[in-house]
Amino acid sequence: MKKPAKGLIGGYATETLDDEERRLLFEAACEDQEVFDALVDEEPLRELLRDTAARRELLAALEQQTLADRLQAWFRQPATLGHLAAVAGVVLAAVIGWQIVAPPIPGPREAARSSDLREALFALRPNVTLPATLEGDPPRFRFTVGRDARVVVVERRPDGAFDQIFPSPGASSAVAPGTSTEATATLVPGAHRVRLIVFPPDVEPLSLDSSSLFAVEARLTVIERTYRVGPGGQIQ
Amino acid sequence: MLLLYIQRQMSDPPDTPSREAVLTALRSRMLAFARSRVRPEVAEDLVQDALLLIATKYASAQTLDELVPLAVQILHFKMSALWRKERRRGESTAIAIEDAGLHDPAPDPEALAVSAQLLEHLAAAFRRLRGRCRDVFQLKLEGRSFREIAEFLGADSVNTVYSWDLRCRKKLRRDLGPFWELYR
Repeated sequence: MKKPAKGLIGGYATETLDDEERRLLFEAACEDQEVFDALVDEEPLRELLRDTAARRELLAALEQQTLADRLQAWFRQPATLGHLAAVAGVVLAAVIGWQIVAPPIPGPREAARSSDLREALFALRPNVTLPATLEGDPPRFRFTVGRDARVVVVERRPDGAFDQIFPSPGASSAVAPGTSTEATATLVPGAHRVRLIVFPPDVEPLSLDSSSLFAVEARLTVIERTYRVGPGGQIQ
Repeated sequence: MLLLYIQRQMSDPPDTPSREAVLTALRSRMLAFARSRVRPEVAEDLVQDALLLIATKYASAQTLDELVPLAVQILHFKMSALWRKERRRGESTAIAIEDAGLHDPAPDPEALAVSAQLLEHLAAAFRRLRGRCRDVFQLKLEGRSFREIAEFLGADSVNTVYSWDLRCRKKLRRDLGPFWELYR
């Protein structure tokens, strides 16, 4: 099988090939038995993915983080590093007889809860996915709601860590209709995903845990925007 | 024939191959595929039925872009129907056009069950995916083209994404193991 056609087969089932790629693949399928056989073998998958509900279910499965990812993200959180450093410091003090005072760190239960919520917000199915057309340094997301609502904006950074970028800590999630509100994301190089979730005014998102979040999922609007930051800090 | 046509197109302005040229090329491919999976005499009948269906019911399909996926789809339907029929009733003869399921948009209960099972296995395998493979599959399912994925993930070129996708699909199939073979 010719290499270019081999690489294109993966876009057949998802129907994401552009016109030129489709032409190349189909010409190859007419000439090369291996390519044709591969297309027939992909057909069950293509049929399955034509069903929007099945596609959504698979997307939801991909959104769920594995235990290894969660541990990796947890280790990368500054609070975790602070905690580990403090523990290491205490151990060192015990060994060599020094006394140190560990810096104050957030309670583990509180940190775990907010982290769970941010993660759960990324497991919701987006109603709208917008193309990456961002400007600004750092990138800013402006939004306006049509009626009283509560809004949370969360970011999944390139390292897999989750961050809440609106409301800021201690601020309210309530947004008045017609008010232009802004959330600022980070400029770390790599692929970013930002989600704006609009809640009804009677639901306080910051007090939800992941199970109660899914109970109100049908009442939410989830908008996703993706963007990429290049090595020089430019938004692509 | 198609190869000659394509070679000529490399120097001429782009044009589309004729329906007949595409169907001639596809007939050979369909026959070779069917022969690799079922007995030769059954393969002949099956491909003949598929081509008859394309000629009568899908006479409006004219271009390469329409004919290749149509041939792939009909051949797959017919092969699946044949296997199901053989399993159910022990029959091994060619199947009737009506059995292909193309007339009724609603799939039969067995096909629905197979789809549900495939979805379940795929979802489980997707949950186990990590890193780049997860990103590539996710972006594809969101409907992004390879070019868009290359931009989003910062790949040097679209060819890099083709390679990533190929590796990730192999990995997924390995992970699905015998389950994938059930749906082929």
